[in-house]
Amino acid sequence: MSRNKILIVDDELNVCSFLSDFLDYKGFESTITQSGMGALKKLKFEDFDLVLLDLMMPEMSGFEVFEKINQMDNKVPVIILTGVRDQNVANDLIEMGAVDFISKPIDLDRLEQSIIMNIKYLK
Amino acid sequence: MEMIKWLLPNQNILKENINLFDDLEKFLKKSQGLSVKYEHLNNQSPAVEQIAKAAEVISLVSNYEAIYLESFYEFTPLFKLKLTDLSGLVVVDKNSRFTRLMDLIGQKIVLPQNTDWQLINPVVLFLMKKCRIVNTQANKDFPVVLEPMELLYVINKKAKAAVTTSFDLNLLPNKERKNLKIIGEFPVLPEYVVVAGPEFKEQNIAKIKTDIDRWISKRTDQLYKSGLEITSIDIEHNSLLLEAIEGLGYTLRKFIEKHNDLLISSIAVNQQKDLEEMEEKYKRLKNFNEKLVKMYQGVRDSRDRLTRDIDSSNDNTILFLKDGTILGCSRQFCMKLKYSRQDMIGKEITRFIETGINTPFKALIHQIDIGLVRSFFVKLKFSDGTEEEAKMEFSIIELLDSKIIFGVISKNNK
Repeated sequence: MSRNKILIVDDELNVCSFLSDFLDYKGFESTITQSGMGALKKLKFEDFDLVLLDLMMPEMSGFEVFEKINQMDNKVPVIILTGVRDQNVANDLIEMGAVDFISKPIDLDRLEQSIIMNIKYLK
Repeated sequence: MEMIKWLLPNQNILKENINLFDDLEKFLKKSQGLSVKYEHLNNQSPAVEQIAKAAEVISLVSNYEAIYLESFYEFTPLFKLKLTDLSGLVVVDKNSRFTRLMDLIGQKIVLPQNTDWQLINPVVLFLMKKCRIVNTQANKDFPVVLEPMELLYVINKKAKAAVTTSFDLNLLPNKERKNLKIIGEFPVLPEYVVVAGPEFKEQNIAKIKTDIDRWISKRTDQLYKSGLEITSIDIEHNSLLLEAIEGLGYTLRKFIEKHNDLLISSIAVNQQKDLEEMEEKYKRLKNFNEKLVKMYQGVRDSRDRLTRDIDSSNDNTILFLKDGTILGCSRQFCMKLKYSRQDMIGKEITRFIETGINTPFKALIHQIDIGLVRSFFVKLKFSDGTEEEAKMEFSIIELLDSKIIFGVISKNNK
């Protein structure tokens, strides 16, 4: 049985590798990228079951990346991971189509449950 | 009026810069009817030799020279001038068999990294030559900021002895201090001693000493402000120094001769600039030490308060340092794990809690510290060997310049 594929987008390598280890342990297959452009390229050529997207990134922000993902034909669920704890920002992103908004520091259990639920629901 | 000769180590610097001896001269003139004539030592023979020959003099010498002159030439030490009130201490475990410096030969000991210690200090020289020095720098995760590091090495049985300061020892809580034994005290920095030649014994030295004590008591504040301290002579300091000198294979005379140049230059201060710099340096050191003590006390008080609050909490709570050392835990938490609080405090957290994922607990502490993770499932390890999963929330508590991690069980089992 193939594992669900998750794309992790965060400019901090430490965050990417930590989340990647965590997701691999939990039975997912993860791919990491540290830029918005990199994320869009990967999404163009590969299929993913879910994207974990950081909002605050240099060059192309998470907002821009999210808008571009929304415009793609093959829609993929996006969970926003961010240090921003603004409920208005969270509401806006959910309205725009993000499946969840998880603030840092992360509750790993909540992250796992959200991933499982959203992958199941969307399938 | 009777004249006494005062030998100064070099140029007329101390008199010009501190006015201390001018003041003492006036005092002696008034109380004893003595007038003072200053003379300088020459460079033709060792200072201690010149002083020993002039039996009717008063002179300022190093503490080593003072011991020598007292032992072999019947000089009397009158008072001591110190640049810092810090004392060096050699500390061992309370229950250890070590009682003397000689017992430590070949043993593991911890020395502070500060180079000021090594300024012709026979105790430090002895330990460096005769013992195995534990490199404390190797363990970067050790809580350097919160605790007097070298003492923890002894408490944790990683070394047999440590050299520390009275300042560091005072930072330890009483219960930890009680686990330590001081085997000797010594001056951290060289000290000056004013000695009187044997001729003075005939002139009622006791009367002079009494007058000088009166003079000292009136000038303590003034000297303290200039970074100097005048104290009476303490024999305890000398015994450890003498044991170290003997342990190094020197006689006192040989030690003074071997290190004479350095002793004179570092102790007697032959340059005005040096004296000003030293005064300034130790004034700053003293102020810094005082601030540091207050700051550490603040940290310790707030940490102690926090630990007490955690200990009495009805939740399953635990408080630990970034290196994993447990500082406190609630009674509830101890009962849950079936350990006593004593079993847990001071121990490594991973003995009691492991993560429920593939990332080790210590790596997760780092992620908590940088603000990436706050909650995850852990395995609680009970004293009977069984395990249970629980979800724990963690948060960082910042205390002035250090961090403590607070953990609480938020959910039992998945």
